[in-house]
Amino acid sequence: MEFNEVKILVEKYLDGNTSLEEEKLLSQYFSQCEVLPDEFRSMKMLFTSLNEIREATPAKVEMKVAPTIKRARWRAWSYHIGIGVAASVAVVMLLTALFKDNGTESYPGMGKEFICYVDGKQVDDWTIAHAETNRILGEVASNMEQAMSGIRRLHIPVLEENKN
Amino acid sequence: MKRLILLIMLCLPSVAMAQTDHIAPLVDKYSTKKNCSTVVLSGDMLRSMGANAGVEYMQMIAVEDVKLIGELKSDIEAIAKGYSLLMAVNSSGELVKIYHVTQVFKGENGNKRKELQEYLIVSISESEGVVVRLVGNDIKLNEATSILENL
Repeated sequence: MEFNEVKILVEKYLDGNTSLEEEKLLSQYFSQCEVLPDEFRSMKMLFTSLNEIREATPAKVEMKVAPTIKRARWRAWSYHIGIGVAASVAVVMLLTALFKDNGTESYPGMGKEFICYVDGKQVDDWTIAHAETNRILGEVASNMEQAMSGIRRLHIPVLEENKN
Repeated sequence: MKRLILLIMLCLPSVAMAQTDHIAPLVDKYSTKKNCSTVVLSGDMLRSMGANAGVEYMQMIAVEDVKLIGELKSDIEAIAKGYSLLMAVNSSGELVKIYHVTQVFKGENGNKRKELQEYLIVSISESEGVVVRLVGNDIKLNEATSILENL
């Protein structure tokens, strides 16, 4: 390469306008050329250092760094997946809780107006279920009436709430 | 990890809130037993029978087996710790207790909360043990007892 050509390329390189091909040419030139004018000595030093760094880094450093990078990527990926799974589980639990809560309010649910069991057997006939309901409530009402009559005999005008 | 713990902690109260119906497991338990009856009535059914408009549902357990009456009594005593005792009358061997608690439930849209009154009426005699749980919106004690008497 002619000296003038080198000078132009160096100026271009310093301005950051060189292509990769041109940088290769400069690198080759400075590594092969023994005699240089003073103004290019610093450039020779620069390209020699860059070549040394290029030769030293790739294989060994990459081999050392690659597993660490892989681990870091895996950790980041598993962390995000973990958070995603946890968030999904949380949402499902929350929705389950909400619907379970709702279900409690609209008990017995599933479109049924009544659920009745007598002697361990399910009763689907409303007349039997109604009769059983009346029997149970009649029992409670009669016991309550008896209890209330006891209270009336004690002349307690108001039932106050007592904490258990 | 902190976020994960936070998420789990956020979920716990909602799961706990969902477990408010303590009588349902007892209804299931006594449904399968001899000399026992269980009835669960929906709000619509109760209203069609002339109950107050605010009634949501009613659960009943009746036990005629002498051995099971004591078991029902201890089951109810375990549950009743979360309730306020309004009345307890022991007359001629018949024990009547009325418990009350205000429960917070989700509304139909899933977000709106509303308070429901819950009455637990327990009647235990030598021959029969009966538990009635009445849940409804803004129901007074006298309304609850009149529902039981007039259905």
